Amino acid sequence: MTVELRLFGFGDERPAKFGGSNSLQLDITTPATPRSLLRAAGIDEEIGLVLMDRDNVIPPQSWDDAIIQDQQRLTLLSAFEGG
Amino acid sequence: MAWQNRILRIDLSAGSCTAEPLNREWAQQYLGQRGLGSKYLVEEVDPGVDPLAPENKLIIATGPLTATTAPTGGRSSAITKGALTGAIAASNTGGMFGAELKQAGYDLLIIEGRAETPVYLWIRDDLVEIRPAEALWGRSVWETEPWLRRELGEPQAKIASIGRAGEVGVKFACIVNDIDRAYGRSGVGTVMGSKNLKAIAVRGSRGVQVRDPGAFLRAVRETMAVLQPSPVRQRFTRRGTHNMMDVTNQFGSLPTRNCRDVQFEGVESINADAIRVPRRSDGKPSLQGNKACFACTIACGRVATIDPTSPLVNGSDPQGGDRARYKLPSGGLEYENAYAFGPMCGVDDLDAINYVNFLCNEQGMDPISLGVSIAAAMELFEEGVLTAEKTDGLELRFGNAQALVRAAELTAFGESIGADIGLGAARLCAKYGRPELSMTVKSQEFPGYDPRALKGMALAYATSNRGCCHMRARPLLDDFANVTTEGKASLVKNTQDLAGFIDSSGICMFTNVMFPPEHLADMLAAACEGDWSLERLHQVGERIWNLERQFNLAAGFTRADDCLPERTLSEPAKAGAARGQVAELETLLDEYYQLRGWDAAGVPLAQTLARLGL
Repeated sequence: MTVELRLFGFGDERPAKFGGSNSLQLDITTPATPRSLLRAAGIDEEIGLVLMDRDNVIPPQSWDDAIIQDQQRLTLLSAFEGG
Repeated sequence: MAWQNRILRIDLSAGSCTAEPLNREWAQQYLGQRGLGSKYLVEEVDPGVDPLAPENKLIIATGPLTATTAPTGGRSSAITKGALTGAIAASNTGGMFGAELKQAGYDLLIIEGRAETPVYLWIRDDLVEIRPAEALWGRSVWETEPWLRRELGEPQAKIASIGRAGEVGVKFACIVNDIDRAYGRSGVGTVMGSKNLKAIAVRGSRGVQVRDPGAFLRAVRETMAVLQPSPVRQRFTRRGTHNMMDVTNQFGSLPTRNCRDVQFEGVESINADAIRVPRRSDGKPSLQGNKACFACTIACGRVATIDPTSPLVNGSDPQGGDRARYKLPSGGLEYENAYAFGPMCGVDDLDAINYVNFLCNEQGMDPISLGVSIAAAMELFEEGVLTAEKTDGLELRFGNAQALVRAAELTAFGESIGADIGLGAARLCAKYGRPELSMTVKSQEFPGYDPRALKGMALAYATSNRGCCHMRARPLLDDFANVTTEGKASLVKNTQDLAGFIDSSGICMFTNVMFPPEHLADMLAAACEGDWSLERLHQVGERIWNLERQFNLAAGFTRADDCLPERTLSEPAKAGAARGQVAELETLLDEYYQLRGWDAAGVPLAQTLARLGL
């Protein structure tokens, strides 16, 4: 099953699996948890990460729920306290 | 220990300079910098005073960790009644100036009165002189700093000065130190200009003693061991605060075109990636490198250049000066200035944005306030309230980079429509009968976080004692993760108290996401006499917050001033995580007041004041 993950705020610090692109198609078993999706994308560090499904934020307390479906397009933001 | 136990009082009216002992009891209650400076201001200044009257005072305050080896220990604050806001102001800067003042042997500098003619202050340890500055009046910060070093024969002197903006009364003038760092917000530079004080030059040769050097060194090492590998620290170093732009844009919390919109289509031309793209003209990117403040290993500051073929850096400027000076690398874009000149004005021209930022450093203007005030002027123009006749033909439309540039130049010199923009967005919009177009709180302009999506930031903006501010509380990460008002009142209250003691310690607020505050408590405990447990530090932060609140209440502020612009309360966000939502405030405000121990009008209860020793 395919899930698309798009990155914002990572700059050139994208995980290697993205190969220089801001977007990655992941073949994973769905329904999947957000956390397993991140691991599949090569993302282990979760500080400041914000996961969005279109305009909706998936709160961290739901990241172990199997809610990611086939063909879903997700956005991952790398945020930290700004100045 | 850690404090120098000495303050320096400068009476510009009398022409006197007097060293006095520090009030150690107050230092135990308010720590230093923002807290201690505010205590002196509250004790010495009538809250009802005109900010530009000689009776207002300008206090430059260091913290106990300023000029120590504590990571980022180079901070200092300028405390006064703000010219922009009429509220208590405490603007925080980095660079080298604050550490040098501390090394000269002073915790605080209290400047009072008004000089009859322009002067500058020269401090070299115990030598303190008020000197004539007629030759400097009218000069920029970039001219003033080298001029003073030559004049004094002190190439290592550290300097804080005002540019033309502070001289001509721009309400959001700042005090610039070390060329491109600044006591930025609330018009502290306007107050300095009103005193006819052009600059402060300082050279210090005294060390700073800490209570237990061995314990302090251990505490610093333990802090560094957490700070250096921190992924957030590494991201700040590599990307700077500018990295935030992609995040707020995608989230739908990037104030755009005077908050008409929450996303900006031109982000990719001005974001943290754009400044790394080599130019066609010279093959170099705008970003030249990093810059760090005293004792800082984060180095989030950026150094930038403008395209050398741009008209902005060639030929003559409107005053007849050679624009070639703008070809030199200088302080570059960070998130707030990039947001204020970019999305807020609808401008996606990187060179224009960099140029206006250079101008802010050169002439001493707060970039946030300048950008948001120009954005307000642009909306007034587009609404037909401001006409081309009034702007001398300047087409002040959103997205017009040339108009942004010219408006900024006119503002710095107080000319034409720039004189109105220099009033700040609140006074500008009120003057033209459209106060609802001012994106301000307590007359201070919005930072780059739209409160419709960021529910905690909405409350933080509304309740900030110095007017709209994103640094007085730290709800941002939680706001991104949880688009709800639940828990935000408590979060804002607690992080306001946290910010209160960090801002009073001498270290940088950015460290709060890089190491836990226990490390700050450990460093303070090793450096200073007294109990500096984390619990007590939170009480210090809460005491500072209530002290500032009392000053503002006495100055005439009420619950009605803990507000947000009507647009954010009535016009739903068009996109992003808060699509269809407006900012929510009133219920949060009730909960927040209750948590603070205030009554429904926002006045601290007697038992709250008693508990805090106020």
